[in-house]
Amino acid sequence: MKGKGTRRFKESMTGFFFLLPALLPLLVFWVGPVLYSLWLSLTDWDMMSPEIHFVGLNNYKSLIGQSDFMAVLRNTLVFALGSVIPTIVLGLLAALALSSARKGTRIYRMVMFAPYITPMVAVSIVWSWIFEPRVGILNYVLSFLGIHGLKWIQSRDTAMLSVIIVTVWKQVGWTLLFYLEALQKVPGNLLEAAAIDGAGKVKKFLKITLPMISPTTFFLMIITTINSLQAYDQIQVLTQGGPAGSTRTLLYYYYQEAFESFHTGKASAVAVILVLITVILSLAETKISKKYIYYE
Amino acid sequence: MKKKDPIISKIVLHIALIFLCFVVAFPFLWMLTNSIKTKDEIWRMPPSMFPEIAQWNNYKEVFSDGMFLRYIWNSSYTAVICTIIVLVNSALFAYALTYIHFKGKKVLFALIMATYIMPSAATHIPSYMILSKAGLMNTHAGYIISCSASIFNIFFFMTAFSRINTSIINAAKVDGAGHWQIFWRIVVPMSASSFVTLGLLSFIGNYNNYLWPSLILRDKEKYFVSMGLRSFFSSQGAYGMKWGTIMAACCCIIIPLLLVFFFCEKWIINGITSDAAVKE
Repeated sequence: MKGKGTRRFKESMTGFFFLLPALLPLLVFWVGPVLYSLWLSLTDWDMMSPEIHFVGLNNYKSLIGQSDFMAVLRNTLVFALGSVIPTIVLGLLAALALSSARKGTRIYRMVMFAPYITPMVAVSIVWSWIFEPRVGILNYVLSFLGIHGLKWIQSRDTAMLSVIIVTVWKQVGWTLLFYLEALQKVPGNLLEAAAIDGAGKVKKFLKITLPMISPTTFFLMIITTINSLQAYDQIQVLTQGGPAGSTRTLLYYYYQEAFESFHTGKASAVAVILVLITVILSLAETKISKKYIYYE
Repeated sequence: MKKKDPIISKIVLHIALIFLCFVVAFPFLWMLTNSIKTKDEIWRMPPSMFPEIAQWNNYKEVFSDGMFLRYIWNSSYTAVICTIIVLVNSALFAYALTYIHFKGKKVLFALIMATYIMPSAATHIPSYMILSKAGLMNTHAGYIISCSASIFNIFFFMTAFSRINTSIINAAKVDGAGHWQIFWRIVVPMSASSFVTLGLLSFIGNYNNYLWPSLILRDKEKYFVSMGLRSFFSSQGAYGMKWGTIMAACCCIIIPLLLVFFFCEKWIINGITSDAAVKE
């Protein structure tokens, strides 16, 4: 008995030493900070003063009453919907095209995925040259379609659209990869059976393929939404939240409050709101994807 | 299939795909050709795809003060160190969660799950305070320490390790091998491909990192590529003149990564879509 006990103890100790090298930074730079942010969001701290005052939910209350915070929320929603939907739809269309092309799939896939691994800052700079209103290539191309004089990142009407274009361009290859995997798993005999029954291409897609890949669609929707909440680099390079705050999203607002205005308490409240939204989205993901697994 | 000519529809499909690839790759091509244009050609209307004569002056200008090599070095060496640390400690952590019995395993697993999707923004203010208290502000060491854990890697390794046939591990145990030996002699070699994939992904992630390093690094000599590029971009005037030089600078940052991707495409793509990554 005693031998078993010490062996167990030894095993636990080994486990502890295996865990430690990652556990330490995880606790110090992840778990601890998240909890500490929660506390800071209830204070009026400004990052400098030695004293921290507890102010309860005041930060949250003042955020909700503030019209520019509401604008920030609206921008975040517009950005999320505007980037998630095209990313998913285009990724699916590209995957459908790719999976019906037998040859060259690998090269097409490689090209379409390439933007995903490049640094957002660098590609945003390239895009800001493409968006240049006077001599930029985009306005030149659009002029053939009769569209003239768009100001892209310099106008509050089109700045968000510009940020969305860059974001979608960069991540569409990522959704493509997941859809390619999902499409491979759609059983061919089902599609053949439907074809024998006289179902056309569109019908086959709507009645068989689309439902079969819906778990992937749902997963991608949630993940790209969570990612869109974390968009920063492209906004920082292209518009810095402007013009007139038209591209200021939740995360961008957080950084301005935290590291430009030093409203640490208020910024932490924004961070907590961001965490809450993320948690709700991912809970929805796990709940619904579990349901799907049972259905299959 | 029967109605239309299959060859024609094939051709149409490939034309569509080539067009799509061209659109996706266009910003890279445009960056490349603009980086070798003269100033006149850059501002000429209508724009031309290629310059009349390739100009390399833009590149000379980018490297003239030696700062870009510095940025590339800073990003590369910190990314390598972070990658090695994160590979080793995540693998050890995943091994413990997969093969070692200890109390509180479930709690720990739940904790890791909960932090997995956490936006890193929520950690930035406190992490910033910790680094400044520790005197590690404005140092690469501070960056490396604060980026030395990856929950994504832990998950990835856990799935990879759980696929290893347990009978091999049990046999090693019977032969008297300890966890340390099992880890290095069996588990690591058997999941070598996961190490390659995660190594590449973490290197790329660190190399591209912008937000967090830009909060903690102040001195120009310590900048990473994205920060260096960003400040170069503003110093050349965002709406100013030197687009050719700016494009050359972007090429210097983006092309090495595209080459890495080109040669390691299989590893990177498999890593991203493997079930280990996110689905489980």
